[in-house]
Amino acid sequence: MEIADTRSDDPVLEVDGLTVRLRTSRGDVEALRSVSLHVDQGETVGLVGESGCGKSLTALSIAGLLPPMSEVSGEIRLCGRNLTNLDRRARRQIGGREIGMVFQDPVASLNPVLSVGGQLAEVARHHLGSSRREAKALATEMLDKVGIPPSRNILKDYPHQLSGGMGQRVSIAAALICQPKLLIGDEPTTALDVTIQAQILELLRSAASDSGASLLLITHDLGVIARICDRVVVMYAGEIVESGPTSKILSAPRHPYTAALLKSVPDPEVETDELETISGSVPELHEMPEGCRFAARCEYADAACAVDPPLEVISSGASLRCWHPVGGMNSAGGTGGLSGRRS
Amino acid sequence: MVRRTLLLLPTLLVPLLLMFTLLQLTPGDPAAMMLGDFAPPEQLERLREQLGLNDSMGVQLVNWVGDLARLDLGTSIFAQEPVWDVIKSQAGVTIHLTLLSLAITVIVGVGAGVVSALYRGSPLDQGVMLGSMFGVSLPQFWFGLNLIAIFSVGLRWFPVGGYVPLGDGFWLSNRSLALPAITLGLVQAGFLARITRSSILDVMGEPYVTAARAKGIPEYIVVWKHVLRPALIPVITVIGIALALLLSGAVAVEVVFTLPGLGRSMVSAVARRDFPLIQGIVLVVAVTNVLVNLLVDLLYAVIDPRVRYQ
Repeated sequence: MEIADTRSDDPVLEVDGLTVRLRTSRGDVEALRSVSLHVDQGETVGLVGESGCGKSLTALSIAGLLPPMSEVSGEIRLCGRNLTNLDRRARRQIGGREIGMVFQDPVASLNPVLSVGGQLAEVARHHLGSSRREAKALATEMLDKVGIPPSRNILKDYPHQLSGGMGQRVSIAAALICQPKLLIGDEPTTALDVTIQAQILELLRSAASDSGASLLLITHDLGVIARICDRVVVMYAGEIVESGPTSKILSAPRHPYTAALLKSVPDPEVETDELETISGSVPELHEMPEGCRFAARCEYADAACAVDPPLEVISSGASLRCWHPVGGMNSAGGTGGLSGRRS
Repeated sequence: MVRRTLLLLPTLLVPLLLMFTLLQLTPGDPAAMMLGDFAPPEQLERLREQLGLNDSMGVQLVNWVGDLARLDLGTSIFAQEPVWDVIKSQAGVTIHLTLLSLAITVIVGVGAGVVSALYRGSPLDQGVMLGSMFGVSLPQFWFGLNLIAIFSVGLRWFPVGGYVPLGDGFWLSNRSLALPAITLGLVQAGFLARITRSSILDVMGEPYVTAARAKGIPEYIVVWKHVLRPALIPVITVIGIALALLLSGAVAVEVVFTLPGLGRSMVSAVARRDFPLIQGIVLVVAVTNVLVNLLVDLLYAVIDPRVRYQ
């Protein structure tokens, strides 16, 4: 508990030049290109982008859950220790113990034929070597921490008896039972009823900070980002296109893609018949364009965009991959922000 | 549970009525079979009257069901013995054969299915899938005859036919049933291997398997606890079906291997139009199948908590 809220700049997670190639029926494709990001101690970082942009793949790479046929280069460091050169068994040991993970669909990500208690206890039994009784006590305690009091007595229940929200609480408990350093949430509220999304989100943040874990949140929902993230990393087509503090990104996005994403969030105060969309779609992995990958859908694109823009640090803690940033090269003003609406 | 058990009665009634009607429609006269081609007509008539064959179908059905209610299966026309005694004396062979083939089916089928799912795409997997194709496609009598030609006639490892009772030695008895059990069992094993493999591959793609891996538990525990247990649920259904198919397959196999079981008895009873015996055997087989299905349903509840709480 004493580490809670003592945010420091030691990165818990550093991803450095992560490139992932997947073998598919259409040949090898580069699904992630040189992805670099970091999550500091006690920090909540949001990873955002459309479906197919590689955000979930980034999460799976960090958790060591890529399919065996994938080719990975670059480094993933957890508290300074490189995970990419560990052998398979040692890599597997990281999961559950040092990195906890919460998935999208709570009911589908719990085994239907094993009891809730069993699924919680197995993590503790394996990583902490707890006895059956210790593991059970720990499971009860963890459930209490995620808002399921011991009086509910759900250890012997099976996943189909739980609601989505309860299921996600159980998943969070299982992910945090060994007090990992990093908690990854892969769209953890997407499958839930809107009415409980906020509760679960708040729980994720508070439970992570109580147990001293930093939080990496993968989502396509900018509302989620605005609500709980300290920093945002925006991905597009397997690359990071922009990153920075949440308030800055949401109020003054610099990358045209970020700006377009923000514009496509409907403003409840403006009455409109038509929702803003980003025309076109994410390019397929096997037909990735040369140069800037967003150029085909970008209103600012010109001849310069045929050359791949580098990811450059534009101010402290913020970086950008674009030749024609929104609001000009150096100005801080932006358009299409979410300023004051959601933060 | 009580409701499920009560539902078994109609399940039994339908095949029995069907069988009864079909038998009545079959040409052939048991009396003529018994007395031979040159029997005087008045003697035939007397025997028909005695056997109740002159009654209308409805009366015969009512009589039969009435006897059944008193657990009386009637008397075999040919053997002149109570049908129940004939069945009792022959059921042992068929039960032994069925259980031995079931063991082969389950061990070979589930084993091959698991291996081929875990090593998906490997030459091993391709071999298993090819083998199971053969298993599913081969006619049993042909397969059985080939086994006899190779292992009994050629290599002399097994007897050509006949049954050694369990009382004469466990090993000898099983040896006498080895070839017929392999004939029956391997065919069903091919089918079961395919079902097992696809069920496991389905489960492997479930989010909860990824979630289990994310918990950092070793792969063998993931496979054992998180993959095999849920994957077994459809496999159990198929084992139940396989048992029914093994029972009916026993008819052909008992004839090929000259085993004195219910199957062979059934074939000769049909040839002799021994109606009470046919009806008795069909009844026993139908009851067995219904009970097996009930057992499968109960096993479901043990494995799948979603069924238990409904």
